[in-house]
This record gives sequence, C-alpha cells and structure tokens, in this order.
Amino acid sequence: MHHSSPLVQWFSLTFDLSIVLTTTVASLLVFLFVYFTTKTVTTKIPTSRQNVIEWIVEFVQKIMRNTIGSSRNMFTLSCGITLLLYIFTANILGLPFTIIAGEDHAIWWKSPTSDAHVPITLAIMMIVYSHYNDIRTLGFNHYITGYVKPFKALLPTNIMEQFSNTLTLGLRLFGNMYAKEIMLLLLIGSIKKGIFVGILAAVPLLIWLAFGLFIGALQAYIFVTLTMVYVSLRLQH
Amino acid sequence: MGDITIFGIPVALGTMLYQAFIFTVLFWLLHKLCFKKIVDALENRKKHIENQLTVTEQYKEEAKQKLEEQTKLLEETRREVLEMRKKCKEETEQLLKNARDEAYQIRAKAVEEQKKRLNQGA
Repeated sequence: MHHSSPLVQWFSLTFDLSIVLTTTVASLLVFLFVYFTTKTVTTKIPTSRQNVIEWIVEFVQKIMRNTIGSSRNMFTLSCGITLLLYIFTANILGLPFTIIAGEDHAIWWKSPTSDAHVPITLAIMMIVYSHYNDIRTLGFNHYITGYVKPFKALLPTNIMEQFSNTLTLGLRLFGNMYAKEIMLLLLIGSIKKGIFVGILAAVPLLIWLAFGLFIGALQAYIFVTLTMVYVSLRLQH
Repeated sequence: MGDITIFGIPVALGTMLYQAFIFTVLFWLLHKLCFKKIVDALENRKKHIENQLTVTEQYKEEAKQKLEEQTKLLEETRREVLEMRKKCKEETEQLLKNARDEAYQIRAKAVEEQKKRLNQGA
C-alpha cells in the first residue's frame, strides 16, 4: 500500500497540492469561526457564541500568564489563539475522511499537520518570532550576549539548542499526527481484506477516532504552550 | 520530488512558503479584525465589574452609617418622648392638686359663708 502526494512545480518551487488545499480549508474554517463568534461582541452579558471565543481567549491568556508572566502582549496573544485554533482544526481535518484519488494513489485530503512540512514551518515561524520578540523588547545587545550565557563555552550549545528546539517543536506535532493518520489508514484499509475483518476493525477504528480527536486537541495545546515557553525563555536570562 | 534535500529528505520549499503565507494571512486578519475587539470587551467587562464592586462596597458603608445615624436618632427621640411624658404627668398632677386645693378652699369658704348667714338669720 503506497501513497504519494500530488506534487506540482510552480515558479520552480514544489507545491504539495493536498497541503495547499487542506491548509486553506483549515484557515478558512478558523477565520469563519472566529469571525462569527466575535461578530456581535458586547461588554454586557455575552451570548453563547461570545462565551466560546472568550473561553478560548482566556485559555491562551492563562497559558501566557503561566509561562511569560503576563498576558499584556496582544501580538503574542493573537499568535497563541491563532495557533491553537489553526493546529486543532488542521489536526482534526483528516478525521472524518481521507481522499485518495488518481492512478498513483495520491492522498488529496488528510490532516495537513501529518505532513512534516506544515509543523516544521510553523515551528520555524514561532522560533523566529521568539528571537524577533527578544530583539524588539530587550535590544540587540541582550540578544547577542544571550548566546554566551552563563559561560562563553556554551556558545555552540546555545546555537544548537535553537535548532533542536525548532526540530522538536515541529516533529512532536508531526509524529503524533502522522501516527494518527497511518493508524486510521490501516484500520480503514482493513475493509479490503473482507467484511469480517472490516467488522472486527470497526470498534478499534471508533476508539482511534476518539483518541485522534483527543491528541489533536492535546498537541495543539502543547504546541502553543511550548511556543510561549520559548518566547518566555528568550525574554529571561 | 522536492526542491532541496536535507540529509536525504526531500523538502518542498513551495509547500512551506505557502504554509507560512496562509498562516500569516490568517494571523493578521484575526489580529486586526477580531481579537482586539474581544480582548477589549473582556478588559472592559473586568473594569466594569471592578467598578461595580467598589461602588457596592461604598454603598454598603454608606448604608451602615445611615443605619447607625437612624438608630441614634430613634433612641434620642424615644428618650425625649419619655421625658416629655414624665414632665406631662408631673404637670398634670400639679394641676390636679392645684385644682383640688382650690376647690377645697372654695368649699370651705362657701361653708363658712353659709354658717355666717345662718347665724345672722338666727
């Protein structure tokens, strides 16, 4: 059972069309969700729609207070909420169905986070943002001297740490989601082996779908928390 | 197929660029359009509730003060009333006594006059 990705070459760059499709859908879903929940914002008694978004905002604010110490920075807060909603949506996008089409068995619809490109890109963006935030709030001097603290000998380790942070942040999400998708594909694929095997696999499939929903939410939370931790680490020393 | 390979792993730069692009767009849209609104609303509500609590505390204090004043006033009034009653009673008794004395005197005078008249007549 081999699956490929629908790759195309535009402007001498390779694009994975399935990821272009699913990330666009995920972004649209997140945008519509936030747009409709914040459409009629009121300071008085909130509607149930507003309660949902307020709960999410306060959830991220709490993460920020626990790691950075304050939730004043609007940019970081927006970043956290967008990340949380986007990654969660992307994680559960592959749960209801997977579309495999064409002669080369190209996967068109899956969780975009189950492809390493998406989580790694997000991780790079977040680490770069944590560096930018450091330079902006504490100055370039603090940023440079941060690499030779507490000792000069730790310079290579400190530089390596930034790469390993990026990799682990991205690969943690990718690994979880990839495993989830593979298990789903295997369980769904069992129907080809006959009706009896298919029925046998139904219960594990159901459990795995619920578990997929759970790890989808959990990994989104972990990604946001770690992003905040990396931002706060750069603001400390 | 990929644009570059890192340790033998093909990396599709276009996919990554598109991913960065769509996430940035989503982030900016939400940041500018939605999140400021909702965070402001949360802050305002927090302030509003805090204000209300302070005002309530103030009113409570005021009410307590007023109640104390009222109690004091009531006690004073009661004391005054009691005093007044006492005074009234005394005055009434005095008046009654005076009236009785006067009546006795008038009676005594009348009796004496009657006796005088009888004596003259006899």
